[in-house]
Amino acid sequence: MSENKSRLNRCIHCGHELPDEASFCPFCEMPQSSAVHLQAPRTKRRFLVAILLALLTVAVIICVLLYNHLPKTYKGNNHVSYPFHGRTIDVIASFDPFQELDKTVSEEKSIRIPEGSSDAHPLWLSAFGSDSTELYDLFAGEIENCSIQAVPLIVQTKETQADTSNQKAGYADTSEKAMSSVPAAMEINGPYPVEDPSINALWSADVYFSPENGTNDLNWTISMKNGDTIQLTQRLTCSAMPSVRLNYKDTPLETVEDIRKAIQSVDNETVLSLELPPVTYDEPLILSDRAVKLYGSSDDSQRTAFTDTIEINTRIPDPVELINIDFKGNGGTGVLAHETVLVQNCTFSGWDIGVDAQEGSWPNIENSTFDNNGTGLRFNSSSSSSSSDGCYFTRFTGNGIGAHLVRVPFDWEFGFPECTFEGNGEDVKRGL
Amino acid sequence: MDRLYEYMENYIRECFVVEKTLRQTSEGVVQRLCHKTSRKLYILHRFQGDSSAVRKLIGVRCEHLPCIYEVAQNEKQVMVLEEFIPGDTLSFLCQGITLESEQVRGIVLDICDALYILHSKNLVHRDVKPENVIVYGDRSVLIDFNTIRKASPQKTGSSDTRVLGTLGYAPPEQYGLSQTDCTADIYALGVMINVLLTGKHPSLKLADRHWGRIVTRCTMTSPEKRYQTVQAIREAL
Repeated sequence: MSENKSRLNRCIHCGHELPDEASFCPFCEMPQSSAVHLQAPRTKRRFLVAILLALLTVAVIICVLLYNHLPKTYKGNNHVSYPFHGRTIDVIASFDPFQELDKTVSEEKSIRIPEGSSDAHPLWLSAFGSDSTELYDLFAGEIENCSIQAVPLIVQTKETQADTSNQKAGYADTSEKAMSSVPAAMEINGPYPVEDPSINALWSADVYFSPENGTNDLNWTISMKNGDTIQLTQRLTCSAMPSVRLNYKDTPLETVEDIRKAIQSVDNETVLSLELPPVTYDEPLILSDRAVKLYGSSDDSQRTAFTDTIEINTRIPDPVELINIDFKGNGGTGVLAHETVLVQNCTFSGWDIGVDAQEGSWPNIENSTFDNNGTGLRFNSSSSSSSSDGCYFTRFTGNGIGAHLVRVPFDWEFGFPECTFEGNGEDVKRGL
Repeated sequence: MDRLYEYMENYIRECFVVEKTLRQTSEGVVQRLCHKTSRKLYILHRFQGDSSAVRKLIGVRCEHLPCIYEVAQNEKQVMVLEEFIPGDTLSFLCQGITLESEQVRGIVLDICDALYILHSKNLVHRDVKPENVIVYGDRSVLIDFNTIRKASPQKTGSSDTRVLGTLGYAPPEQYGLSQTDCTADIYALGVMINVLLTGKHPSLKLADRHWGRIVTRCTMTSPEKRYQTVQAIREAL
């Protein structure tokens, strides 16, 4: 290796002699100048994209946090699980507040009543899920408002399916064309807070219906103080019972046995009305298997009459009705009722007790006469499946006691609006 | 400069062993050297031309360019001692196959970084092609600087005025006497992208969708219509 000492340098690492223009020492394999590390710059665009992504991430996090605190709507059929203070409250709308939570709570109910009649049923809003009374009370206290609305449904037929242009899914078409066939909404009374601690319910309401209402959705809306909304739905269908009316001119009804046979010829799901001839029945009639409506008639000489007891033990499928009948006794009891009975335009005379309403019954008396009986009407019951305001437009004359109210269910005020009391030993006696 | 060349010739004989001649053409020789003491591998280029361009890369450290340790020149030849990059060339790896979009994207981003360094020093590679790309793990390295030139207009009759680059990868202007700048590398890069994706030159089969648009713009006949910088290609990716 040629050398020119005046133009030689030394390796900055190992000291070996190198030409001064050398960049590399082949002996220690080290460069003779500092390395310059170069890298292509990343563009502002990527920086901006990174910033945007970071902002987007922050925005998403904020939205999630806000969403968790926004008021929410919890919707179910008749059951909603509502998160409350780290627990879950089961909010349930039912037709019976005494159902156990484990059982399937019915969200739909069908009721059949005679055509032209109406009925009512209670509705209940309950809360379950915690053994803690304190949590239950806390939940009840957080309810801002409770409301319920009945919305009639249309059951699709071929005719209604042909025109669905204005129809929301399942709900009534309010267009002018369709209004004539739209079932009416059921009437609702309430809801009201339940104050009876023995009933496991927070709110209750009464719904009034007839077969003309068809099917209605009963929509509960509970507004909570924190802004949440709970929505539940029950469905109630009212339909007309089939009914049969047998006339004495077409059907043998001359005797009590004929009446029994006629009753047995019709199934228990059908409302049966019998138009009786203007004859006197002198045998007792017991109505246990099914109820019946008895319509008396008259000719020039007499009206339909019974001289023996009619005993009433059932109100299925519909309460017994006694209309235009004379009850002529010689002691004993004219009508012995263990269930609800409707008496219209009837006469009771010569009985120890004209109408004896016993445990489980409720007498509905209209436009009738109690004349010359030991006791015209006797009411002794602590419970009943129905009630009314009392007797209407009824005459009590010449009785030992006009009306004896021994016990009336529910501590109801049994009244005698537009009734007449004349010549009775005692017009109205209460208690024993 | 001759003195350094002679010194380099001497220490190559003294300190290195020539393991293998990788390429020998009329343009030059590429050899793999092994240091006798450390056993470290190096690449030695010998070629005809000007060393001023490649000399600018001495001391430059870039993970997508081989490190240039020493450059020496005499009247006839240039000698370059550079880092040995293990791995296989892209042309070897892509024999008979085409690459997936994500693979090509990774390679092109690395080559764009390498070209950015060259272009920032006003250097043009002029021979960007799969044979000059070494794939080493997940890193791609642009090698072979024997065609590297400064980006400046060439004089008529200059000894430097000759056809450089590889047929098909060289832009139209590289076959003429017009100015050659960094867009020449962008043209070649566009051709390479298309070959990696389709196996064919873009004139025969253009890549699909987004890649096709990039290749088309890279290989526009008029340099001024191409991407003007490799950074623009990076953004397009």
